[in-house]
Amino acid sequence: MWLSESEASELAWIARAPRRAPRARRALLADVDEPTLAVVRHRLTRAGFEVGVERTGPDALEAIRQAPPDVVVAASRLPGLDGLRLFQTLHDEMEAPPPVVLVFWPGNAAAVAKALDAGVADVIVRPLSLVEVVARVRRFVPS
Amino acid sequence: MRATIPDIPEHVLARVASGLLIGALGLTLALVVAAFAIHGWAAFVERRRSRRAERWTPRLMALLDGEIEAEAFARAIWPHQRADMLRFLVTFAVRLRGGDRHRIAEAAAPLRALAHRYLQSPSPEWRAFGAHALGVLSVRAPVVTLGTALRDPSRRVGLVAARALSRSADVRAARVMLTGLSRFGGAHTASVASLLTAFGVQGGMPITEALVHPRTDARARLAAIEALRRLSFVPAAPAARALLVRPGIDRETQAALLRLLGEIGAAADTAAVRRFCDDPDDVLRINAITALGVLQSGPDDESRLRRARLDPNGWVALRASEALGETQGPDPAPSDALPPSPAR
Repeated sequence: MWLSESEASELAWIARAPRRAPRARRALLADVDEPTLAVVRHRLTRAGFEVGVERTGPDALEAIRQAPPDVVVAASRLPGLDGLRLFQTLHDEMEAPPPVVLVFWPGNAAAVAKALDAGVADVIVRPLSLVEVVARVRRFVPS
Repeated sequence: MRATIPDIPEHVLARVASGLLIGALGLTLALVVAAFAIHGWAAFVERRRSRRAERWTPRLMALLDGEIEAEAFARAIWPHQRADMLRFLVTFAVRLRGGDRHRIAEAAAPLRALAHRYLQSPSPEWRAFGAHALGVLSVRAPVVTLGTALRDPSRRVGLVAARALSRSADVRAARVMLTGLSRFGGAHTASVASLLTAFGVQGGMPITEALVHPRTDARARLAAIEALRRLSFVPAAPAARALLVRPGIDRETQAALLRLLGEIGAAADTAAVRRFCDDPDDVLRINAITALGVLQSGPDDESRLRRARLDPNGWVALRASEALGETQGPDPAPSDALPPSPAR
């Protein structure tokens, strides 16, 4: 079967065109604790995530509104807007809000239960296990 | 007798006054300079620590990723940087658990001697930090060292050591900690109970042994009872029952034991509980009727509960009604009609 000249040139163009790399999975970290941010950001970056970092609730909300990430990992306590209220605001405002994983300090069983009742994607209790954090965050992004 | 003013020439007085004024001014200036110098030095040390932490962070990440050998991590630093390195590793270790913390603890092995030195410091701040560092950065908890720190003259150091012991989740540590329980007194009953609960069910038996030990004081007993309650440690029921009827036990402990039996007890415990159903103390009666409501084992207990419905104390009557299933819903009685609950 012979190809027309235009079809052949189109195939040649497709062959030359660089393969589009798969879109990096994006995660947003919202926490005030710098050491936690450092280790989690590092580990998620190594796991193939493009990681954004915010240190207050309102900043995190603004960043999500502007470019919704695939998953949000937010501390339960954030200045300006705590993690649960951030989740609730996202649910009220967005049609398809990103999954939110809340990170709690230990001894907050009631707050953890409240967050799960409210429908957060998952909860993690400190101290963190980095392997566990990555595994939990990965569940919410397409491979 | 009249006091007389000594006849001193005015110019001498003026000279003395101006001398004192200049002296005071000089002293003030010296204090201001010293304050600035100390503040400047503290800021410099803090900046230096931050710079070092920034430099060490990528190496720590590599350590956590398994790219650097734990043994090589802290060996590469100068001796004068060790204190900052210890703080740096503690900062990260407290935020991590499992294999991640273990890796940091292995890397901190050459710095543990420094933490031991801090424990000998005259400053309670440093001693507390030493106990904290040893607890967080040890692969296996140094139970004896922390047990000694538990008896430190500073209560803060003792509490830090207790926390470090509870973090180890080692039964040996539970036993050591229980021997030092009396150290904390009543102000920390709830915190000590939380620390004891951290040992989990495996800590239940040592806690029970400490509870019935004759030398355990009342405050320590309250912490142990609360921990057993939180753990729902059913095997403690016979010991709690025996302690409840032991002569010389104070009322607060008895009330706590009745609460405990109400949660972990069985029909065999009702005889001990019944003794307090007609006690003149309202708190004991409330807790006894509540426990009996849970444990009741026959028509005798039911008639006792029926009688308790007419108790002059509204809370006793309410608990009896609840036990007989005569009230329903979360708010069965108008709370305005009841006195403030003394039960807890």
